[in-house]
Amino acid sequence: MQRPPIQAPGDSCAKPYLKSSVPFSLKPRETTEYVYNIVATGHGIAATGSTHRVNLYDASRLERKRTVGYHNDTITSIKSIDENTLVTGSKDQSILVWDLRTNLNQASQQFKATKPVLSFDASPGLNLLAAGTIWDVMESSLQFWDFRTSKALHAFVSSHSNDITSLQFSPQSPGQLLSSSTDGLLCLFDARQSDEDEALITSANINASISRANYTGANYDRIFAMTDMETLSIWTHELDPIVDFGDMRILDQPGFELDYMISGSYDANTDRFLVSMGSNGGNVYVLAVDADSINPCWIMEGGHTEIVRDIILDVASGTAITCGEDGLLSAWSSSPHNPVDDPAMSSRNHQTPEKKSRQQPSGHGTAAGNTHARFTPY
Amino acid sequence: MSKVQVQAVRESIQAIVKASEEKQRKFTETIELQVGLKNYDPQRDKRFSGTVRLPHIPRPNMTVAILADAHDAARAEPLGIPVQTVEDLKKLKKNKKQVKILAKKYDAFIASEALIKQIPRLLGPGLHKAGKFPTPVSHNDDLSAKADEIRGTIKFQLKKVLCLAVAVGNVKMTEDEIIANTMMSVNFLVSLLKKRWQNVKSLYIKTTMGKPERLY
Repeated sequence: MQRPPIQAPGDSCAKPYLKSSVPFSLKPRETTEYVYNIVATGHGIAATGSTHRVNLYDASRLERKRTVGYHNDTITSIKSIDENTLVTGSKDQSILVWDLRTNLNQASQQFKATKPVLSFDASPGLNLLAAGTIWDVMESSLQFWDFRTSKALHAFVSSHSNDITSLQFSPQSPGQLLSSSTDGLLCLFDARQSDEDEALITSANINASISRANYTGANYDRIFAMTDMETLSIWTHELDPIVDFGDMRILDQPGFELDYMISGSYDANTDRFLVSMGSNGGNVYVLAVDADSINPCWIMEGGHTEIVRDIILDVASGTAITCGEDGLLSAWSSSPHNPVDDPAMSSRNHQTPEKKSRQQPSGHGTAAGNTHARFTPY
Repeated sequence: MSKVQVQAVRESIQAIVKASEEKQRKFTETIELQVGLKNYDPQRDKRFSGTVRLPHIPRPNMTVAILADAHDAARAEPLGIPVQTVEDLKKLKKNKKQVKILAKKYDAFIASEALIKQIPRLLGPGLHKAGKFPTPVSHNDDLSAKADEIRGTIKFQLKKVLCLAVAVGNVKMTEDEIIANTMMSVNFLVSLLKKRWQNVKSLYIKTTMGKPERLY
């Protein structure tokens, strides 16, 4: 199947301004620290780096606030559960919960998996934490815990035959859990069932290793799946196929090179599905994707020099944050003059009341962004 | 731009096929492409795994069965595609041992579109575990073509070491078929690497029992 042609960037295509770019690592190192993922929390932007560290940044200026904590191996997944709660999963076989109200650099809760963790999701409503592991010793495991007491519950070991790359509880149907895997399968579970045979509702085979899948659409009634082959497909929330776009890349076209997908998100205001793509040189392109046409709507050039790993997109406010393998976090805004974001101002007035009053709206915006991030599929 | 020229690949393939003919084995030797990577950090760089669909089938003996509704069952039989009907599957009653036997009997499965979503309910996760959960076919699909599509799709996955191997053909294929599969695999794998050819350390092609020939 062929994707519809990607239109040339038109007049409606925005080019946000690069507001600031900050290195993840304070000390220059021999090799650059990659910034893997970023997520909005009630206390700023949390970012994971390749030294197994989680840092917290001010949301508007990307000033580093502090290091939240460490893992002992690669951090594979980070999610904001509520305003104050950040959760990280790692190949060190643990999932750590961080209470952002404290500055302890210590996890408030810890879950021990039996294999390196690649993906997880929590459903506070059901009081469940689910984690997906890599394929190891002839098994990949989908493990469940009581999110409050940390008590290990059941584990499913049959539904996937390779690494479990993403897990998402449905924001719409309680207990419905979506998983994706390198084995090419999307699976839907009723996570309230402890018996795997009973829990497994249905599956779809994409025939290519899936890098991520998530819910999208106005009522979370759609599922999108992206593969390591950079193909994209859209499904109903019951895994009936809707559209298969095939390979999304545009290779070797100077000025408009789309080498990989970064993430997908739903824009409620315009009812569009947005796919963020990147070039190997670090440019980011946000495309509005539907079955008939693909239109570039944002182009962010010059913020990165290597692969961009993650993006937080806030279409309503015209702002975005990106991070990547060049070790940088970059903040973007569609408005050229935003006094709140003026970096010269902020560095001069370090602890004046003026700054405090300014921080208020930005902190508020972050909190809103957080609920957004939690309930909107990225 | 591909750094590997067709003519050079042709010579290498002639050499390994000739060596295979000179020393006949009791089975059809597979032709394998081995890729060595550099400037790639498996710890930090993006995962490198996936599938390539080749123009010519590298594994002709691969058996593909269909889990079929009545319509597809009638279409599959004259084509010689093994059929399991809904009734057959219902008889297994999620019996783990029986499902395992079914999974072992064939290399891959396709299933009628209307049926596929029920399969986890009918069989449990047995086919999942075996890595053989079916791909769907519609009533408009050519069943033989679908089965060949599965046979022609190869998987690759980079683990902790910087090399990987994919089966691109066998010694019974024509030279042109092997070349087409090799070129397709090489160019596709390279297109997925962030630094393209700068990430490729070496490329070798070899038969199962034969000596490797360097392509790059």
